[in-house]
Amino acid sequence: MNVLDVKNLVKSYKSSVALDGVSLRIDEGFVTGLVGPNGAGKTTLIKCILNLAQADSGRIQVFGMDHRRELEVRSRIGFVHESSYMFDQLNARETGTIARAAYGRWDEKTFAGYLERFELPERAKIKTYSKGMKVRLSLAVALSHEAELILMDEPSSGLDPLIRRELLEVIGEELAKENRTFLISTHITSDLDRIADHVVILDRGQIRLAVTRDELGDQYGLCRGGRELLAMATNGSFIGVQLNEFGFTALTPDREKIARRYGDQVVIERPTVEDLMVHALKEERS
Amino acid sequence: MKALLLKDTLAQKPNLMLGALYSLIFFVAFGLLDDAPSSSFVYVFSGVAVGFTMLLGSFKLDVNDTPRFMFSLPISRRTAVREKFVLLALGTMYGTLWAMLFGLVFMIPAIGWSTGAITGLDLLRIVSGMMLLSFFIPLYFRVGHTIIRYTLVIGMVLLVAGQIVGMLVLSFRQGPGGPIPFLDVIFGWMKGGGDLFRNLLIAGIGLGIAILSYAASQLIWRHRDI
Repeated sequence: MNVLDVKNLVKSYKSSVALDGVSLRIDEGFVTGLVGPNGAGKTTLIKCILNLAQADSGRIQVFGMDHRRELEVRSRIGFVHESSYMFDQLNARETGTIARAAYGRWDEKTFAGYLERFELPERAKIKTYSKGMKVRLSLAVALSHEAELILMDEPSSGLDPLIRRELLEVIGEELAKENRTFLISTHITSDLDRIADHVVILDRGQIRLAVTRDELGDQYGLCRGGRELLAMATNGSFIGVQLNEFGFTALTPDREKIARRYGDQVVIERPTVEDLMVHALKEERS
Repeated sequence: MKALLLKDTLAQKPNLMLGALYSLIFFVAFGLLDDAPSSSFVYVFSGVAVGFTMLLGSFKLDVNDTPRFMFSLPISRRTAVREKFVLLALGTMYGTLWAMLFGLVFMIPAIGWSTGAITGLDLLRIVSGMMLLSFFIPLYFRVGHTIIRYTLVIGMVLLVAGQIVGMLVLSFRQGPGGPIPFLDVIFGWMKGGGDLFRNLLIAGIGLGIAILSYAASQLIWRHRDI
């Protein structure tokens, strides 16, 4: 089932185009990683999905509904966000009280369970929380109302590895449940290597590349070889060529073809999401 | 709506406590100096000031992009606008109730101070004041809370300046046929109508402003990026 369907989305601000014809489809039960450099348009896309920002043109459907049906759509979405969006004057319990009043399907036991698990003091004001604690509170709210689509906007930015690992563990547990779909926007790509089923690379408001985990592992390859190979290479064999003193590094969308053609003249490894992003963006900008 | 009101009350607990204190201070400062006329001023001022303080406090909660959290919850933009008006009304009621409570306490003869009871005309003035101040709501939706703060400071300066100018204008006006005759017509018309007429007129203006403010707020907030 199609959870999110974005078509030709355009959003511009006074001086810049944030999204320039973005189209994206996310199916139920998958984790999609949205990666790109700062200012790529990742946050704007998430804001448009939530109708926090209004697109100039294009269409967004969430659960088959127009995203502007705010009540129906948002009641099925959980939003994990940067730490700064919380009310510093309130405590975790009060934040839960507000969320409970808004969500029809709020589960107080689940929320209390997450507060305990994340070691969040219920009565301490949020302004005394660390950044990691604030993100964990945001996660607790997002996961306590049986959300079917969880949108995460740079959740692990600025967090230590332990908390990031914990975040990934929770996502893993949630995925085991039915109907959970994740869209995770991040520029910390190592997190996505572990969990993402799909990777979408966004840059300057456009989707540059979209691959599945299987495609990344089976078809794409990170190639290293001597510079002389580049002269022999056909168009499109190598993406985002980086020259160095030993030769070159590049991404290929067809590792088997490259292996057949160059044999042991080239070393081919499984690329990480970061490799994918770096080379795809280099290609785009060269 | 409930979630927004909860947010505004939970995050403004200090303002709620101050609301009670305002009424007490106003009574001690003004209401006990004389009898009914001063009490009337306290009732009106307490109700409107507390409601407005709650509204400004609600605007101020927007620091750190907190609306992005609130509007990721299932809350419509239309409801968000309505809530500001409801909050202003509830805050005004809250302030008025405290003022009435203190008014009743000071009416106990054993205390030795005398205050006047709240009148229907006072209630009308409170509602008028509340409606007149509702023009800050579309302003907030348009420009945000920081500019509202500056607007308030500038507004206070203009108010004082306006009073000075007004007094100067009145000092020029030496009876009928003076330099600004149309003012005589307006003042005469208002005076002739009596107290109730004047207050109803102000309430009518307030209602007009409130309706316009509501419509403008809905229009602005419907298209605004959060």
